[in-house]
Amino acid sequence: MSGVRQVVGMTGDEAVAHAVKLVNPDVVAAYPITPQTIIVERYSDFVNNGEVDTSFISVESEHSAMSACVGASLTGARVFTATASAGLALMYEILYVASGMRCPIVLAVANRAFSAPINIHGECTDQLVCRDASWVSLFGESAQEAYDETILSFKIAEHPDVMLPAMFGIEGFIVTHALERVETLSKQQVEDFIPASRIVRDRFCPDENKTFGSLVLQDYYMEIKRQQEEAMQNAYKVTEDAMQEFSEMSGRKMEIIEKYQLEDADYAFVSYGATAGNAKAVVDRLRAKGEKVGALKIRLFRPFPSMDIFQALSGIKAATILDRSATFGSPGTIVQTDIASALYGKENVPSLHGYINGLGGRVLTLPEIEEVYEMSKEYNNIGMTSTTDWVGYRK
Amino acid sequence: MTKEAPDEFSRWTKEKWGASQLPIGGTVPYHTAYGYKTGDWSAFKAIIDKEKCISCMNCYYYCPDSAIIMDGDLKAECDMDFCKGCGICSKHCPADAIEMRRVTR
Amino acid sequence: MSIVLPKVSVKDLQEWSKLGEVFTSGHRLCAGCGAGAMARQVTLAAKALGDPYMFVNATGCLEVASTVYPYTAWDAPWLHNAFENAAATASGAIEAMKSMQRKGLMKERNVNMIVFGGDGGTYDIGLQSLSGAVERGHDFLYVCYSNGAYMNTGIQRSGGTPQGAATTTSPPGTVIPGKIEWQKPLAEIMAAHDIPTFTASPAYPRDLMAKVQAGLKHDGPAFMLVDSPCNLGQRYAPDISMEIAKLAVKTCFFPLFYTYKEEWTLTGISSRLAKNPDRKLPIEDYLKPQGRFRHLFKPEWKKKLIDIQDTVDEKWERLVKKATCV
Repeated sequence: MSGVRQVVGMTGDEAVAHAVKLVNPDVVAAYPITPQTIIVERYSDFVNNGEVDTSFISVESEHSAMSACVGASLTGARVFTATASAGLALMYEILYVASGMRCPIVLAVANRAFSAPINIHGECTDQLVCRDASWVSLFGESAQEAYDETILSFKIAEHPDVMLPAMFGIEGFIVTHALERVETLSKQQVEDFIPASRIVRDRFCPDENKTFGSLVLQDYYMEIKRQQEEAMQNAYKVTEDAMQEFSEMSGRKMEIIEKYQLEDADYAFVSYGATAGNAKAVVDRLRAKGEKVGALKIRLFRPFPSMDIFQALSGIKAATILDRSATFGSPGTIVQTDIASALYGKENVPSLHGYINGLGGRVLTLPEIEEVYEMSKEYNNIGMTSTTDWVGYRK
Repeated sequence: MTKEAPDEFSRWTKEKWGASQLPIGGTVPYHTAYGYKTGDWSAFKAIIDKEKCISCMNCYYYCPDSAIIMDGDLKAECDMDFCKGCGICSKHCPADAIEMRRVTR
Repeated sequence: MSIVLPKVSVKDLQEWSKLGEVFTSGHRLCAGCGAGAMARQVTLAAKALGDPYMFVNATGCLEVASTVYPYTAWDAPWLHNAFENAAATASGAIEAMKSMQRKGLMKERNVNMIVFGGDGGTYDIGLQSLSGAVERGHDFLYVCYSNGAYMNTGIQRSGGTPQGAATTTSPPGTVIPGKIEWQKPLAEIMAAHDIPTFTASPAYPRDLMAKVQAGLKHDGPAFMLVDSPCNLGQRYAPDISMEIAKLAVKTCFFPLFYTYKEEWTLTGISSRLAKNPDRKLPIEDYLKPQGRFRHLFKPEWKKKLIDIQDTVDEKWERLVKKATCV
């Protein structure tokens, strides 16, 4: 158990930087982009003040950031980077190389809307559209969760049964720049949690005449990709165990999905990231009015916790999915379509009502969330099992 | 000198290993190209008259395929397993020791 | 501080043939490929230095043809990431090893890192990554083997394609005779980063290998541009690859030199040509044997040939003016 808990006021970005400092990775290769900049700025302070002995590579683009991370990771090093929005999009090609070559890189995403129009504020589309890149993907609601997931991500990614990169997201400004209360860990706690030894793997290093990044054609490509799927399936159990261990070490409960007032609920909110906080606040308001409603927060997005979500929503009449991401011409919001797949054909599952909201940092107020909740009930009452709407914009 | 791939590798290709056997991430953990003979690419082969060889090293450094092997006396030999028959060595042999000959199979 | 080229003798060449291949037989480059000779010379020059070596390779002919899974022709640590990011990838590996050496997680020693990229991967899509890595000062030798087009994807025009050359995206039309523009001055661009910059040709192995060693001995980034003849894309018979490469030098189309800061030094044949200008061959000698320039010899493009000769002369004169000879 932890000794005396230390509490510090930090923004989400600062929390990430401080957590990375405790991990002291061998390489951080990063490029600045709002709203991620504080992470790399603070980390540069640590490097230049000798508080860590990381090689900080201040690259000329996010594409090179991820490329350098791949080169570094293959030597067997522990590697971290951070980005947002356009930066993540620029990395996109190399995200697949990183996972395909099984590099356990950890990436912090300050979730931000895509251009155009250019916008610097919170939205999770950037990370969600990386869902097929074979990266473990987590979302955090607060600076505390950003801090915790930073450390957790290394544990998951480097696990020998996984050996895949991991990204975790916190929403731009809403979490990255908001000053919050963060319970910190000691250097010793983190060292006990993440072993000091580096990964045992085939390494790109002078003593090993190994070839990385071959041209793999029809005769072997599918086998190599299948290995990734198995690793991703393993990542579920590894995450569950790592969260359990983290909870015991930190004294803070950490779960793949978080259930709030769901036990007796007829209706539920489903969300992830910062929106989950609002959902819980609305649950409190609605409960006060006598509504039997709860909230489900998804922390692990890939591998998608289908079974947990099914169990959590079993017996619920209607689910209101608050999705701070944009998708166009899709059968539902991004997270809604995943949930629909997870629940399809099962009995006793809710109708699903997805709401695209909060794009480009737009605030969906608590009264608006209550209105959305009423809409879902209405849809459910008239027998609609799946709906998708945009909310919180001027018509 | 014979150029052969490691024993384990011949099993890899013969048995056509699957997802559970292959190294992860598409890594090839050792040198394997000696298992892929390129000597049957061409209808020509470099025939070297070692008596004439003056060890100038032209053929050795020009050969794109490492198919010229220098023997203990630094005389050039052609590795027929890998010679693609391009003829560069023959063109640049100052001693006129290399003849490109059509190979009948 | 200046660059000192080691002297490479035939005796050295003989000794180095006993080292054992690094880039080996069993790759699938075309018969007669200049890149095959180039890669062998570069890797053996590195091996001869004695320190461990590692290779990062941008996507391209050399990468594809040498590592068709599960075969690899690299008896060395070798890494391919993607097309445009070879220099960035190398910078990550270099810094990771430094960091782990600092922490006692890896044996401390000098490692010679060599990065290979073609003209597509260097003149065009990888230039930003290269410039960034050089600005950051990582210790590697970047070798751009330029065969003057995207040969791997089927001979499309690149920033390294010579003026007038026919490619599949600069075909010799009735109105436009092949590529309109001159090549990007890549060596000069890299030299402007204040790093040792070399040009070399696999047709002159001693010159090339001496430059590889000088580049690797330099503490910090160094760049080498190699003219890599390609019988497939430049369209000539495979056995004359090295003759074509020699003609590029003898016509002063591809001068051999090295430069660091304000010092420019011509080497080998180029040095001799600067001293004996009358031995410089006309550009037609280089263009004529290559199918990619055949259309230029039609009467209607006579003016084009004159223009090319004028540009070659003008560039050569500028180089000779600022260079010393060895």
